[in-house]
Amino acid sequence: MMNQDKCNDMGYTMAFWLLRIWLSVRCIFTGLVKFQGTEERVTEVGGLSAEEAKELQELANDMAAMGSAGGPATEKATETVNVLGFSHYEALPAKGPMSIEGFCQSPLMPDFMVGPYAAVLGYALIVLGVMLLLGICTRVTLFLQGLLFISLTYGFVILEKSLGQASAAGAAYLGVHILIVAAALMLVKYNKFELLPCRKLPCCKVCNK
Amino acid sequence: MSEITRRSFLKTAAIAGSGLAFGANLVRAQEKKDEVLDIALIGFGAQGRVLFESIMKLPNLRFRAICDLRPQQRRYVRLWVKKTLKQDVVEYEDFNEMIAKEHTENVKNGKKGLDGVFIATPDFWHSPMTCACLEAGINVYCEKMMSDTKEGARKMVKAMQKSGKLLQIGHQRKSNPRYIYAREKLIKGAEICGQLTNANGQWNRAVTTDLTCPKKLELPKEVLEKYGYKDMHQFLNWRWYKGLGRGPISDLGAHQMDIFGWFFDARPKSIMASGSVDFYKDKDWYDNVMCIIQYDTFQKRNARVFYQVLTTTSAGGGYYEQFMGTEGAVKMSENPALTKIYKENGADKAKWDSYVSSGLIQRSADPAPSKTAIADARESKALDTFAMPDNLFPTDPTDPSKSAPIHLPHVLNFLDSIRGKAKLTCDGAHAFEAEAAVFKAVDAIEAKKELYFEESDFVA
Repeated sequence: MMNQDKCNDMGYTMAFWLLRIWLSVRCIFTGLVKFQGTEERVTEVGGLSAEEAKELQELANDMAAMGSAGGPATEKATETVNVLGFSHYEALPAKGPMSIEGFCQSPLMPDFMVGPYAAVLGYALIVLGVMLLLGICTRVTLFLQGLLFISLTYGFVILEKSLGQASAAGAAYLGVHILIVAAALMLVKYNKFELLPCRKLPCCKVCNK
Repeated sequence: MSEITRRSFLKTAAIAGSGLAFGANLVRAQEKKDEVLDIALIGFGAQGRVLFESIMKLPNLRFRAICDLRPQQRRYVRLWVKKTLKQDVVEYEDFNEMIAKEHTENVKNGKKGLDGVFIATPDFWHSPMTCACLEAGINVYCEKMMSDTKEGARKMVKAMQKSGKLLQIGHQRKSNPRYIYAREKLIKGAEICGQLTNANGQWNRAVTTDLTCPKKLELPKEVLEKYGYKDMHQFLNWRWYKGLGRGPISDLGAHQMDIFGWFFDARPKSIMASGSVDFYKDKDWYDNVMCIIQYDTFQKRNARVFYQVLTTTSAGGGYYEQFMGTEGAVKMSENPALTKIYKENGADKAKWDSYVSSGLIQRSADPAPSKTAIADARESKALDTFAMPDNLFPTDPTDPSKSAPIHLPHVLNFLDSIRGKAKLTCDGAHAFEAEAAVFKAVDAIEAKKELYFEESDFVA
């Protein structure tokens, strides 16, 4: 009987791990994507070193400025690459249907909140994802993730007029996330391998009760 | 080149007849069995770049040196060649130094010199550079006009004859398979025009501003003066200055006036011309020129050519040469879209149908002539339009989905002639003969009367 219980508990534990990993991956990489941008990089081209390729491009630009006096078409010696970096951080685009501008135009969203929200969103997703993966304050982390998904749902809902059907689809999509978070919270008591369980922190006494 | 492209090319060549020689050349060039030739380029301006782009598409070449006054141009070519061909190009400002180091010293030391030099500099440098190369034993491809003076052109022909080396002049239409087809198959072969009575041609282009360059690319005054230029403006706009070039009638007209004599298979008999500086007040050379030239054609009949170069208007249908006869007309241009064949309404329909059924020409995709009422009883009806067979011009050796650069056939003809596998389509002596009308046109403008050609105008 004891063995049977242990087997059942292990199944719940594995179910929780799957939810934990899924939510972690979802948050971390959604956050990282917000730090993704493109850069023009000088590349080695044919028999040229990167420096020579850069020089060739500069010369081509100079000569293009001369027009028909010998201006060649630009010999491209760079390539556009996708990179991650703080300088590329953009949680919400400036323009477009779901943008800072779009939220500012909504009467249901105070303008002063849009900027700070966009500024922390990417970082919050990554931090909460990493915390969940490592097992730091798992219950609280899951709850905060749930709140974050609700905030995103709110964004879809208030932009219903401009987004149309995409608004409902986005809200439903995030609703699935909330269900997964809820399922994880129900199974969290079977969790194992936590770096910093809630009960170890003095501030988490509420959770431990 | 893919099998399909090769097959289509050979089919085209079979139709083209005389174009076959070129087609075979290009196919062979692709097979990478040819001797590797060592070449150099003097002058990397607008035309130098056009030549360079063709050269870069051809295999079996070792690009040894670039000579240009501007260090940026030289560096650019050097890097481009290094990038594309992984070859190291040596840069020179002085062409004499280039000839000495890349050719003469190497030959003296038993090493390989230069097989060919491409010259694309301002006209007044053509003769000294060409003569220096030929005298050193290097084959030369020199852009047209041969020289800004008749004497300079004469020296080039004499240097060619004395050295026994090849001198190709950049009248590129002479190697263009479409032009060869039109001349050999349509005009002379089928005599599709009937009796050739007239021709006209033009190169009209809109008003342009003078060329300039960024300050950092300007050459020092001492360099400009050393090489014969008063200042950077003159260096960039040399075509308009006496003593450096011969103006638009030479610059643009040389390509086309050559075609009339070539298609008529005749030398010009006389020329009348009018020209003046109508718009560009600060220019030395005439901005608008009109000429009437008379020929005795291969049909042993008189034909008259009206030719104009207008640099103050792009009206009139761009640039073309049109040969008009009693049964039809052939309108040629380097731009295939401007090339047309017209049947006179009175011409024998059965004969023209046979031209189409035999594949000599094809029906044009142009819309049928308008049914608009004729305003005057003396007005002729609109003519039926035909076209030359498709795909006469080769595909790009490096990208079969595109047409080859327009001057590639002429460059290839030069290189294959060095290899002993072709005959120059426009050697120095023939170019001298072809350019006689261009030189005479300026004389006729100044003389304000009809001038007659003499034997000495055609023979160096």
